Amino acid sequence: MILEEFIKSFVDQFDETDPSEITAETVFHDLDEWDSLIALAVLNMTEKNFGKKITFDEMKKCKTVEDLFNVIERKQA
Amino acid sequence: MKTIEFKIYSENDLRILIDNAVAHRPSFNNLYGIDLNGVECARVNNSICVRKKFDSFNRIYLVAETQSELKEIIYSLEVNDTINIPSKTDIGAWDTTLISHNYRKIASYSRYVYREFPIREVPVSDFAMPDDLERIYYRLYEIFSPVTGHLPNQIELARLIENKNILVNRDAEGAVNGALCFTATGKKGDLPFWYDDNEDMKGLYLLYNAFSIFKNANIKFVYLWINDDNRKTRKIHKLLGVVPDGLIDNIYCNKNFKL
Repeated sequence: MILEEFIKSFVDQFDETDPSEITAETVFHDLDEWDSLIALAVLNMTEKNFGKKITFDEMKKCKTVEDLFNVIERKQA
Repeated sequence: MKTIEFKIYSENDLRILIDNAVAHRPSFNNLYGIDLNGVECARVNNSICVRKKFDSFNRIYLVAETQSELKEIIYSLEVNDTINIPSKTDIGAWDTTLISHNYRKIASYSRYVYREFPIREVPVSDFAMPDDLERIYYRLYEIFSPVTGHLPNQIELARLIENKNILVNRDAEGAVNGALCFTATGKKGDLPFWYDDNEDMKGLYLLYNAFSIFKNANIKFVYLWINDDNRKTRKIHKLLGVVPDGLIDNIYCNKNFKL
């Protein structure tokens, strides 16, 4: 899995956010549209697209999109 | 048209009236599985109208043999009489008749079912305590409409709390800021209401906790109703695997009734 591929999948979970707002450095909890629905959609996406299950707690501890990517990457290792 | 007259019947007499109306192969019937305790009933030939009173409105249940009898009953209803029509098929004849008699459709709820429960590791939620009753009750009635929401009254809510049927989230001061109600009978579970005022993911913890309880209790199916306008809740449940079972509850009220 590469970071760009993950960011694209991450962006796809949002309906109203401009894709250009979301980069590797984006603090995703601060995005206006971020809520429990998007969180759930992201968790589902990581399982469906990348075959890795992460917990709410792991997601909560991540700040940026890249942090989340790294958590998933570590699970793959 | 003449006004229909409501009376309180004994449970036995009411049952006879209902059985008689149903035996005449009614063209219109929305009287399914309601608690008949304390209801009033009016007769029009072989049709009946059952009225169940709530604080600010009434729910009306009709078993009407013909459209003309349905019209006669609807014509006589009061402004705060509301009508729920649960159906898996087209309700065009109901809709036409109600709309032409000063009624409007105010909401529709679809029923959904979980046949498998997604299990995920989340913090264990608290159960509501008796002291939480008022806060949950007032928040429920702020968020949802009692007309469309089939909300518990205070006595019913107290019983749900006592039976540990309500999971809650709390703020830093310990006050409830999210609640989920779940019930189970035999192999079937229900999710009557769920709200959460948190901005993060804590509301989902309530749902996952309920799923764990259902799984441990060997529940096979869990049902819930979602307002068709509630896109977010529908999307969350769909992500978790819920599917519609085809039953839709259509809710009508008089155009002059203020919700």
